Amino acid sequence: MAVAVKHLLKVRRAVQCLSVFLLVYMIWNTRFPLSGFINPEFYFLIDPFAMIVTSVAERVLLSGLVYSAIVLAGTIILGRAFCGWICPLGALLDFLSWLRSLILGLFRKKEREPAPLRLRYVKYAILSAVFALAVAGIQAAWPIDPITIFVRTFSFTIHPFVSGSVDSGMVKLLEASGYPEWLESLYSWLREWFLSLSTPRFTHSETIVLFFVGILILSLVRRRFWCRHLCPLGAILALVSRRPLLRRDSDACETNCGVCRDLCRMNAIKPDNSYLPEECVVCLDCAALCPAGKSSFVFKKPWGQSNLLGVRSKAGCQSNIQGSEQQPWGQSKTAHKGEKGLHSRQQFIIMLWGLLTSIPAFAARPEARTPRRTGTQSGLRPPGALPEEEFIQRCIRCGNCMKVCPTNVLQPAPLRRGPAGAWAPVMDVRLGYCEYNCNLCGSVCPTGAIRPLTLKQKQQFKIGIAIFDPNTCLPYAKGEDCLVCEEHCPVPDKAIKFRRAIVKGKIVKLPYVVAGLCIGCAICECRCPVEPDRGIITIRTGDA
Amino acid sequence: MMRLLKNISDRITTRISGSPATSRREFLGALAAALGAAALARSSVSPSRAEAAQKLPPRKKRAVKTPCDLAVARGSSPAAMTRKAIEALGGMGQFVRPGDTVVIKPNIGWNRTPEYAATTNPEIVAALVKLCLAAGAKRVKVFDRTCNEAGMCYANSGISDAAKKAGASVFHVIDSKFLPGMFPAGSAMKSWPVYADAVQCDCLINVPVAKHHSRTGLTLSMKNLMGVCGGNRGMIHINIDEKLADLTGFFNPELTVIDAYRILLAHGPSGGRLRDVKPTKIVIAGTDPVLADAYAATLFGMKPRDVGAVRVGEERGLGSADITRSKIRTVTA
Repeated sequence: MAVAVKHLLKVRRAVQCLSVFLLVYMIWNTRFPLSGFINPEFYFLIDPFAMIVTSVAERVLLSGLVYSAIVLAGTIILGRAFCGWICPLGALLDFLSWLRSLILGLFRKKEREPAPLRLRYVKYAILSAVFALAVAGIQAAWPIDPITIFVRTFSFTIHPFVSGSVDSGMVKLLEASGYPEWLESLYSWLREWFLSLSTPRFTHSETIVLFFVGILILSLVRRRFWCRHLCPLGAILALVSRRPLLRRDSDACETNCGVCRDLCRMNAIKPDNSYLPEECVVCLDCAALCPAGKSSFVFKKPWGQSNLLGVRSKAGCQSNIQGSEQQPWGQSKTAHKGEKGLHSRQQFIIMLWGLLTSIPAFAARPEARTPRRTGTQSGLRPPGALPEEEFIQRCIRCGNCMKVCPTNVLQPAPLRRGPAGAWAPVMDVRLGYCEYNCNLCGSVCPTGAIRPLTLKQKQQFKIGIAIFDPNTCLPYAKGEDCLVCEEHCPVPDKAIKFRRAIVKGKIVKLPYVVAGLCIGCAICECRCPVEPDRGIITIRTGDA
Repeated sequence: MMRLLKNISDRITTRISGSPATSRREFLGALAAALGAAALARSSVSPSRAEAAQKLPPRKKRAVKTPCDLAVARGSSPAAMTRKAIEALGGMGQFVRPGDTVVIKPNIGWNRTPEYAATTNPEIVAALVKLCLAAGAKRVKVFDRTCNEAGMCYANSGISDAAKKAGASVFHVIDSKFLPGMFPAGSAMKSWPVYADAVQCDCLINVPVAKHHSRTGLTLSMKNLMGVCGGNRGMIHINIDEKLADLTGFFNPELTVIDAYRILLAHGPSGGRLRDVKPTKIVIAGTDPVLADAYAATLFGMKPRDVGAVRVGEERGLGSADITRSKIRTVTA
């Protein structure tokens, strides 16, 4: 039994690692030709916070609610095991505090955690605020959902950074070594199966990573600071796990040595050795590492006292420990300072958090000749997107569509288009265009903000409409034949047609757009050779 | 950004010169800021590699004597027609020597499946790869700089799979391999980035598909060479006939094989409508790119010299557009 409990900790760590690797693998493979064996939206579907809030805000029944319900049911039985075992962000924070203790443990004596803080109620406040907004029809889950934060940061910052570094490193190596055949084959293989053909880049990736780094830094201040005090997903799970079936049983404990309290990453154990089930993430540290073996996790009936079955720590073994157990931790029996208001340091931390998250996105990309109209100014949404108002409420900004987009045209929308629509996908027609034979973005959207269209439907979906700028377009402005736009137009009938006319004394083919045929894929604007302003621009049909 | 960098470097120099005013904390802060700034600057100061590297001289064509000027194969199997056409020219051994590095340049420009005739027929590419390897080629490279997204074009055109199966090394173009080509003085192209592999190979086989094209009338072998050009290719569309002749003279392909198994009659070069596709079931092969294009033009009911590039190519002496006086051999597979 004792061995079994120790092993459970290893199992938990293994499950956490697996969860992170699974998610990373899924995000990495969210690209053409979607070869992953699990849906890229899987982790969002099992995220009750994102699913419930989006459903309430949008008054729809999302398919993910079913999966979320399973998670909630599991939480009623097991407590917040999702946070302790599955949540990839939680796993990352655990890993980080383990690293920290490994390094700091060399220099510093262990600090004792204070009693459970009132600060933990902040997460409920956040949750209720988000829920109130959802009732009012505004979906505000996207900035703070932990799964989204993880995926978004990974897709927008970490993946491009890793992929880009390896890619440019390989290219430098190839250049330096004169392109040997074996290295070229290796590079080609890597590009096909591991890297991207061209490294994607995303605007706002700096701001997006800041969110993530902020959470990581906070976890250095206090273990799992985010999960204890701020996480709204944790709050939802806490609400249903106030009295889970699997509960900690420390009735046999007489010494109250405080080891478990120091071990507890969630600070869920009170000075009197009772605990807060809704704060407990069932990491099982207290059960497995209790020096006296008096702490355990058992399934209890929701009523009455009788235990069903459970996990018990090394029961009463090595009684010689009992005498010395208090020593490494100092004042074991003395009760800790009771719950107090916010410490000034905590206030500072909250301020810092606010500061970090409110830094506006101002990172402008340097361009030799800046066009008057930037790519995202088109305001074009992905093909199959719901009507604008509905779209920005439904979208949880997970970044799946932008990650999967083969041309990198989808970008997080800048804040200047209004904070309500920030970071929702918008087409940057200077970076790419919408590929005609592709409907990947709709197939990876977890909330249906982008509808899953068939190829045929997508090819007829009007994203926007193209219009010529006669002041810039070569045939109109200079009387030179060009027709690059017509060449690239993917519509079988060609939405760009031309007529012959005399401009500046020359007979030229003057292109024009057939509004009924144009689907607004923007390849014409993307491929127009005129710099820096294009001879053809794509706008939303509503703006036409 | 520059002010920030200067500030940081000032701080670091004061530190190094031993000014007692700088604390450790300040120094560490400056160091962290410098690292951050370096990371930010990384994206903005990457120099264009093409400018830093060497230039490429025009490619020299290997002189080959063929029994006829042009071979036209008719039949029902693209692979068999290709083999017959090459046989009529005297066999692949004429063009490929043992140990050669061969580049086969098909049209993989569009994200379309083969039946739309927007990309070269994969069976023709595969047949050529096999012929080259049988003739003793050390390595056969197949690539194209695509117009649509490259991964999808390679996959959906069927060329990537077919050529790999036949034994070719199929890869996507690497940006750093586009080097400035030295076009002869007076060329319309002046200097333009071209793909090094397509210039530095022992044998270049150009395998276009015959299609309609609004700007040039038709897109054939000369136009297909735009696929090994880098840069803002749309600009080649200005004065395109002269530029295509420049490209043909620069790359000098040993062999031109035109896929006319299916031809795209309208709404080219990307197509997308089966109504515009005509199954002509012809493969044209020859050493003279202008003549091959001239013959292909007749399949569309056009006079060869109505295609601008063919006319200019003939004027420049790159080949002949006179299909009546050339020795054309028709074979059936």
